Amino acid sequence: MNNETLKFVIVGHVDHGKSTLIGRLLYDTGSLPEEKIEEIKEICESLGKDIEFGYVMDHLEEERDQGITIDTAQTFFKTEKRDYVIIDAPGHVEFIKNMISGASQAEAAVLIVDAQEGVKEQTKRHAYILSMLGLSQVIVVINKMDIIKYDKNRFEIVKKDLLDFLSNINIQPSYVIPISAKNGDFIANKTASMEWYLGCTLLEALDTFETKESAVAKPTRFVVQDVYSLDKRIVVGSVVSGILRKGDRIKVLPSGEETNIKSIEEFLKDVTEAEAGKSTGIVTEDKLFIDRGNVIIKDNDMPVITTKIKANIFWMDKIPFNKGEVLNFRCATQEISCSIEKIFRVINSSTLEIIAEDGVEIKNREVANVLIKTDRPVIVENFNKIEELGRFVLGREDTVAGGIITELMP
Amino acid sequence: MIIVLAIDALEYNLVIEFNCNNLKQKFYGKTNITEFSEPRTMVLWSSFMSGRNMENEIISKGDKEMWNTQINLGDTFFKSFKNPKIIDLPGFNYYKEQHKMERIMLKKYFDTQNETEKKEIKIEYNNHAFEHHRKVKREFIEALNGPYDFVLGYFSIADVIGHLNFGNRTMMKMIYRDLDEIASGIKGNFIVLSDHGMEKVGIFGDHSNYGFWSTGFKDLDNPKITDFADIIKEIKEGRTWKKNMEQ
Amino acid sequence: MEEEYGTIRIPKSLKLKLLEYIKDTDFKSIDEYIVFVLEEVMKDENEEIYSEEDEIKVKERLKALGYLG
Repeated sequence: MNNETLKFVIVGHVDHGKSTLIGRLLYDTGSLPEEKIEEIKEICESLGKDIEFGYVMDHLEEERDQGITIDTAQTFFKTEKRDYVIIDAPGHVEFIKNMISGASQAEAAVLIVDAQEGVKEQTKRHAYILSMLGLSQVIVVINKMDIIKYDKNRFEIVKKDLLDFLSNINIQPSYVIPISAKNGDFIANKTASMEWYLGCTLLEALDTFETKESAVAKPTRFVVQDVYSLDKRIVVGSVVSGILRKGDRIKVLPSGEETNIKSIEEFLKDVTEAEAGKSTGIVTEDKLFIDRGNVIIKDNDMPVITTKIKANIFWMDKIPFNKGEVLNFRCATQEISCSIEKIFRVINSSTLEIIAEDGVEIKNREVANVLIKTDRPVIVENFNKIEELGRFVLGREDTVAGGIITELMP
Repeated sequence: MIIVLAIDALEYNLVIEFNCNNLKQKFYGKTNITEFSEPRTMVLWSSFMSGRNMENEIISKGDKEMWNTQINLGDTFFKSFKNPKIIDLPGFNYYKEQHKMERIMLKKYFDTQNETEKKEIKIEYNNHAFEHHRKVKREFIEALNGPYDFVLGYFSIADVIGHLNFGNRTMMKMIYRDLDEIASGIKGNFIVLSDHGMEKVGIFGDHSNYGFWSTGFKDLDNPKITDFADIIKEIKEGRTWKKNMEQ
Repeated sequence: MEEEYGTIRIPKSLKLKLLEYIKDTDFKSIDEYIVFVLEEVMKDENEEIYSEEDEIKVKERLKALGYLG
């Protein structure tokens, strides 16, 4: 398990305690300015009150009302194990757009539910978004346990309701934790309030999550941009994952032909390898037919070559999509015509309401779960495996939608 | 029981800014104190309880004696109640020693040039004010459960702390929220009233030229502080108060 | 509410650095990022600082109100 920064997102009904939870995470990990806390503590005592976490939150809320601290795109805190970033976009539309375009990659999610209120419509919608965005590391926290007097039975009921719903949309939370953000139970600290709960705290749970493997550790994928014939034949492209070395045995897709890497060409430099993230050129031993859009791999770890792709797309064009329309599918350097064979579900990205099931149309700022059929086979990956080949755009003349691949049907 | 929450220097703009919904109640606004030459605490509260402009009488006593003003029950609207309970109201049953101490420390603060001394005095001044606030809070809450037909709780904390600390937003906010909490504990109809508000002068606070009022049952439009004697009398008698449009 | 905007110049090299920096964030433009950073910095100005001028002014006022008799 690596110790790199973990980015996660907190979702759930707006009244179920999200901002108190964020405040508590900051407070309990000492990430709030200590001076401010001391000051608040002193004034509390002067007013004849016990220092309540609520007052600290109150002050933070004020800063939030002024558009500062908590409501920004990223909130930072750290534990002994690692650093954390809470990605908390104020608006759903921005959040979804960023997730799909890859701008802010949350790697885990915390779904918050009010113990007294239970699973509400909004809870379900948020959970659905998590599943649509391919977030598989999920922790459920059942909050406000203090209000229901830490009752185990109620916890179990809400837990069951939620797990039942989540299993329908293919989410298996790694943990379900009873907490009180207000009183600080089981967020950073184990308290005596729930003797019947023997599990870990929220922070302990987060500490067990994996951060995304760095791209270099993933199977090698080299996406071809162009081929130049100078004194040598140089295949230019970018290493989206893994690493290429001089002498490597490689396979070109979709043809399947194999050869070895004779040399790695970088302008004015003498190199023998190229890591993920690098644009570079290679010269092969054998003169194979290689073209823009091809993907070169090694070690026989095959991506998927298919014409059928299940994906979640975010429509960004004023002119809506109507079933039957032919679009351009662009993934890495591949560009192919496609059609959307089925629109399973359409969701309003700001209210997260389901607009249609088995739909025929997708409008601006709507998210849709679709089945795409490309004219020719494309080389792609599930977004959770290798992002760079799991992300694509659709276009007419300009880009009209961004998408992530959720399921591949070979 | 008719209840008045008399909060010295409660500032209209901060009540709104700090979302003090219990202080705001249903109807709220500013009071008209333009008839007075300066927003003096003693003058305003005396005029409040007597129902008439007492400025000349009060200030003619001079700055020192002004604070010892003692108005007879018979000259106030409290007399129309069988069993009124008034807590710490300036000009009536003011905790004179307590507030005199405040003024002494205030003077000391402004008289010394020494930074360290100023700091120490301020801390002592603040602690002294908070201690009194805790005491008055207890008294008020107890009175609400008492056998009275009229209860008035006077809270000086916002004014006293405000004079030296108005620029400390955190402190002011916590005070306002505390007052809001006191208001939230009052059952039934009550009036919130301040003599004047407060405005910022750097880290310090000066009196502003309007007060704050609120009720949960009637819009008082832009009342004068001297109107409240009649307003409260008429609430007692079950009549609706009509604003006196004549001069 | 339409706010008025002014133009500020920054060195090109700084601009390029900022473009790179905001790539992985939710900021849609350098303008947005710069405004955010500066607002954060300015926020500390919210807590008032002591000024002798203010003190003199308030002392006069408190005298007028009868506090310092």
